[in-house]
Amino acid sequence: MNRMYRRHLGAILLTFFLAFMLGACAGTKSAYEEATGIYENAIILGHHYKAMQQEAILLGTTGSLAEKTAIKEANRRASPIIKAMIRTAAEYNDIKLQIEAGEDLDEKLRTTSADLSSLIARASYALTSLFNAIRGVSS
Amino acid sequence: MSIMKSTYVAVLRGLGLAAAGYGQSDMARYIDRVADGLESTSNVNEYMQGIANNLEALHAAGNTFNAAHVNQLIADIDSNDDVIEAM
Repeated sequence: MNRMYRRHLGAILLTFFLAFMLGACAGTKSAYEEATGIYENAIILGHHYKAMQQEAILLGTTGSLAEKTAIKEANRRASPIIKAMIRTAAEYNDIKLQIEAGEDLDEKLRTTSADLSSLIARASYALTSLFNAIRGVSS
Repeated sequence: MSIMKSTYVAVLRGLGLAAAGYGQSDMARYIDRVADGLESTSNVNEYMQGIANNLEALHAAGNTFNAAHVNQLIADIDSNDDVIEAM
């Protein structure tokens, strides 16, 4: 009886989980798909981080001390990287606008673009670290 | 959270209670964790869908995120930092 109960419950759970997952990531996927270019991608990543922080805050109200500590540590490491990426993205966009207005800033754009690419890679890892802390998985 | 997603979570919570009622406490805890995860995923996705819609509207008008938007995003992350530190 116990085995049959577990099997049925497992099947019901799996059905709900699969049905949910088909639509679950649609919003996040749409945001990244809508972004064109490195500037908008960085800003979308910044918003994704902000949304994860808000989840951390919600879960933090009920989490254990160990979970809260893990979230705080992950955020302390990640948040400065995310903010540096957003600021560099803004700088990159400003340089692009100045070039469109006729300024000769191609070299500055190239170096800022390289910095931004590097920061986006680091920010992606930072976002994953916070995600893992929220899920209670050590990173 | 949409009605469909709320229904999924509510059904899972009900299954969790049923599992607890049958003395399956491990299963009940597991179901609750799945429900927590689904709720959390849903909140993030709804927020991101709003950002996608905002950006789509900006693109339609030939624009992109402006400096005020970027400054507000940094201010929001700073504010969240403070709340997380105070948890």
